Amino acid sequence: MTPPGTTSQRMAVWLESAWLARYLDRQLSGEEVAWFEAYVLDKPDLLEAVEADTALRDTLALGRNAEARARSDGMASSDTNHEPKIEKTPPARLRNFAKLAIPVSLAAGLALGFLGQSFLHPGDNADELIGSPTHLVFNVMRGPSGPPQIERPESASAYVLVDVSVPSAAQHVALRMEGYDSIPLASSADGFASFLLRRSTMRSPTVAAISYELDGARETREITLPAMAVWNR
Amino acid sequence: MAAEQGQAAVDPFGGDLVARIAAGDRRAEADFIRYYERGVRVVVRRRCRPGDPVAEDIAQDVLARVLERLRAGAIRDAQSLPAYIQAAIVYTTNAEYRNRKPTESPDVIDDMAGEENPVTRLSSNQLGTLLRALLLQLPVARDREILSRFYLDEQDKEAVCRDLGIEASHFHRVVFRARERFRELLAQAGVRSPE
Repeated sequence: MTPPGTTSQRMAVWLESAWLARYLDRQLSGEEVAWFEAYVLDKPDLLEAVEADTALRDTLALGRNAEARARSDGMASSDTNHEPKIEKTPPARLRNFAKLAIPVSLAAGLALGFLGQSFLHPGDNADELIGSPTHLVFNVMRGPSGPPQIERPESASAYVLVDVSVPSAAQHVALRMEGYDSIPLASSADGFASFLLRRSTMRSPTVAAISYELDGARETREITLPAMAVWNR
Repeated sequence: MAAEQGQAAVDPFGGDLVARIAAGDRRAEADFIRYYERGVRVVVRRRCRPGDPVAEDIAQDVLARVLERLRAGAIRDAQSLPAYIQAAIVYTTNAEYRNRKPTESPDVIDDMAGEENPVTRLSSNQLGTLLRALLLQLPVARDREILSRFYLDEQDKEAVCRDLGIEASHFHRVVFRARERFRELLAQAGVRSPE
């Protein structure tokens, strides 16, 4: 990737997300890493994403190191007498969710399939099979969403696939966007609500709201769909 | 969130921070620390071994070194300041690990980290078992494997994709989901990640 300019200017949101994703996935060259680290130094939203990822790495390492120490102290994991009482079955919410996982997943697949069909233009083969569309992933589970992770922004697909992470136990998920009626969304087994958007409608940033019920309360999270390049098709 | 292509970042100091520090303005020094402190800490920690408490010292060292150079007027171009700071982070972090005794094993660092970190105020043995149990609770078995390989074994994307049969183009999404599911379990169990 070519650094787009000085570190004091902000890149387009989609480009920034692409850089961040590649940085976190350790896909940047040494020179690119140096540039990006200088870029994020004074950008709190990007620092938050890097910090969260590093914290997860450190947490996992703590677990592994503590386990190794326990083993060296003669407290191997197989010695259950020394293990603290920890419920190893999934929490009730997960167990209940697992029962619903397959039907919900199927429903999500069917819903996506239906939406895809309804967007197709009969006789236009180019739109009947879409490979590797642009893909936006929003995380709204811990408060307001930052910029989405953007995969394949260069895709020439006429549609953009949007995934929004929601709590596993979320129910009655709905999407509301300016200019459209509210539509219900099925959440997948792995906690994502998905929808497709025609790329040509994404000429400017658009605010959308994802709402869901969790533990009896209705929660709403806003996401901002970035402006996407529109291809001449 | 607006499309911000080419939009200049707001300079909270009127663009003359570098010159003011060189001129001996102590308030500008405080502004510099306040503006870059968090970024330096985050990037230093990213470059340090997991949980290594030396990260805090390195961050302080980097800020002090850069401030010293700013006072001396050795940095004149404000635009180049972030790159200078990043280079100082790399240099200081690399020097720290290069200078450690060859006989010092990573276990020593782990033990040091264990005393410092809030999470490890819990019994470390219990914590290890808890995190292991949480990993086992991940509803998608592949999540465990991918988190261990990518974060702990530091395997590269290609190796992880090859071994786990993941399409390279799906890698980021798969890791993203695994991370979120694990974080959710951590939150449910009341375990906070190290700050």
